[in-house]
Amino acid sequence: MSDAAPRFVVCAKFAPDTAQLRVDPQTRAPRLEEAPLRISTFDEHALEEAVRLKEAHGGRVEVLSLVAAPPPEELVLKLLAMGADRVCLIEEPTAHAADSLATARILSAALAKLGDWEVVLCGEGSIDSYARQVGPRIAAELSIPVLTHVTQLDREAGSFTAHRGLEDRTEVVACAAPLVVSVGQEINQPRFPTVLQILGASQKPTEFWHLEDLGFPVDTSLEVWSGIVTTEVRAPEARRSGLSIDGGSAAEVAGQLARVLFAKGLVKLV
Amino acid sequence: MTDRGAICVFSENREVVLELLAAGRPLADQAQANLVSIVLEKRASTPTESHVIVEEQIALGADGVLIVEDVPDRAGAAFEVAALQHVVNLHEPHMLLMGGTAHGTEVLAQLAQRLQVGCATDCTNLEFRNGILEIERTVFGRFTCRQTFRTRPALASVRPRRFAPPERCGERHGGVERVRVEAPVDPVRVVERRERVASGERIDRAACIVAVGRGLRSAQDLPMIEALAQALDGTVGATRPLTNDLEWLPIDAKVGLSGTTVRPKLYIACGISGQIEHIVGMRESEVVVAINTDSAAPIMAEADYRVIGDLYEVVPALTRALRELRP
Repeated sequence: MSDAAPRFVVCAKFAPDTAQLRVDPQTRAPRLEEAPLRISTFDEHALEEAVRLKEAHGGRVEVLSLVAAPPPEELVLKLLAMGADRVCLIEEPTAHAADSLATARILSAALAKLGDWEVVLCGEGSIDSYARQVGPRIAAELSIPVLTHVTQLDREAGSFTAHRGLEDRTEVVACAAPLVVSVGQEINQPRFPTVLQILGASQKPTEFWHLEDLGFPVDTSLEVWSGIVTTEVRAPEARRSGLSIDGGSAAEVAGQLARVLFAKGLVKLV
Repeated sequence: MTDRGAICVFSENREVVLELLAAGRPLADQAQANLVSIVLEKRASTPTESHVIVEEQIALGADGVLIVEDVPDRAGAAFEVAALQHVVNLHEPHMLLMGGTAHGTEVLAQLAQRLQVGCATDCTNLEFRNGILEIERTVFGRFTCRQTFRTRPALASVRPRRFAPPERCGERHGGVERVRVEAPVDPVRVVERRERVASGERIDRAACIVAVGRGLRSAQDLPMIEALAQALDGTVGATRPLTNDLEWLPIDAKVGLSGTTVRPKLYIACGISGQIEHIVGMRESEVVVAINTDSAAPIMAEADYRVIGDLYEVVPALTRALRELRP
């Protein structure tokens, strides 16, 4: 691994913008076809961190993503405008059926094809599924270490020191490359690309890869590769009563609410 | 005890193990299988300590305890992955259920890839239907998805505090089995480890939480939120921007994905829009009140009581109204 030009790889997911996802009133299923895609927020933090590493140490940033169809061009341009040097899209029509097992296998094969990188950065979960599996699974598939929930990452001569934030403790850990790092939103604030960066982005390469380029058989659906089968996705029946407390001044509303909470036994009169 | 087809549970967190026993007991009954708790026994632990743990696990629902003994005192995730892989290969359980802590999820996902099996994290429900294990988990922030497993063993996790710990039952009996696992080389070196020191009441134990988000304009307005919490005998919680970006509150006040999962009797969300990373941390609350100027904010879908209004008016008014209720 040459320290002169380290390579940093980011695994990113294009996912439906959950904030804009509507429910079909008949079936209660999500109307996925209508929801715009976005870059999964956690992956933007992963990319930002990779770009910061590049700015501090030189080298290149490459983004890998498994997609069912070519994503909207503006999202790919955003990755490049934020500082990625190349985007490699693994296009597979059955990608929507891939679970974390299948996704990690494919991304790992793509990482092997890229070769000779120092660190793979992933968001700790995706905004749509938030399974939090793909980062550690890639590490296991490639037999390399993983650091999850990283809140600060420092590189020195091909070795990394990371701060981790867990529920009950914080840790500082050290690990030699190559490794996988998964990050949450704590680690940084992703940049907004400038107009100039956006214009420059279209000059950078975007490549489409297919499963056969990664040495996989072509004629299988990724559903068969998956360990999990999703049988149904529905908006749950409203679990919450959702009663509006309104009418009148803040004092009147507050008085009403206080009486409701009291009647429910939620206010202790001590 | 650990015949093939058992339902195994494991968590590095002793409180979470109890929740797993509560979640696993009905599954073991449905599958007519043994519920087996996997325990890592540190080298330094005494026979008395181990005995207490075994006794507790069995009294709380385990049919057996599988002790991985002679665990190096500094063993971390790499050891747990290796130990669980060894146990799974040895005993071929139907299922391994783990706690969805940050650490537990990392271990579980690596184990799943080593075994080349599917894994469902953060399940909200698990049951056998006609002999087939079905789980539910949340996707797209607020949708419930049902999933089944194509591979065995079924690996799954539940979020901490999703299940209440089981009642103790003194009349239960169970077996104990011991295995040893060779410690792998752990490529990750821990330089420093700091337990979080709680800055106040532990938020995951609070019966009432008054949580605040970006609707709060200044840290100087926090006493207004604290006053409401005090009137309700509760604790103040916050969203990620307030604890991390603005640092107005200590990190252990953070409710959500990267913070604490809470399950209070009453959760009052003040000026919180309801980003998914916050929602998953509070959605198990029994009663939720949302106070927000925006009636379309996602938090409203999670609220039993919706107050469309300015928290700067409603919160002080509510504090006064609650104080007036008191004799």
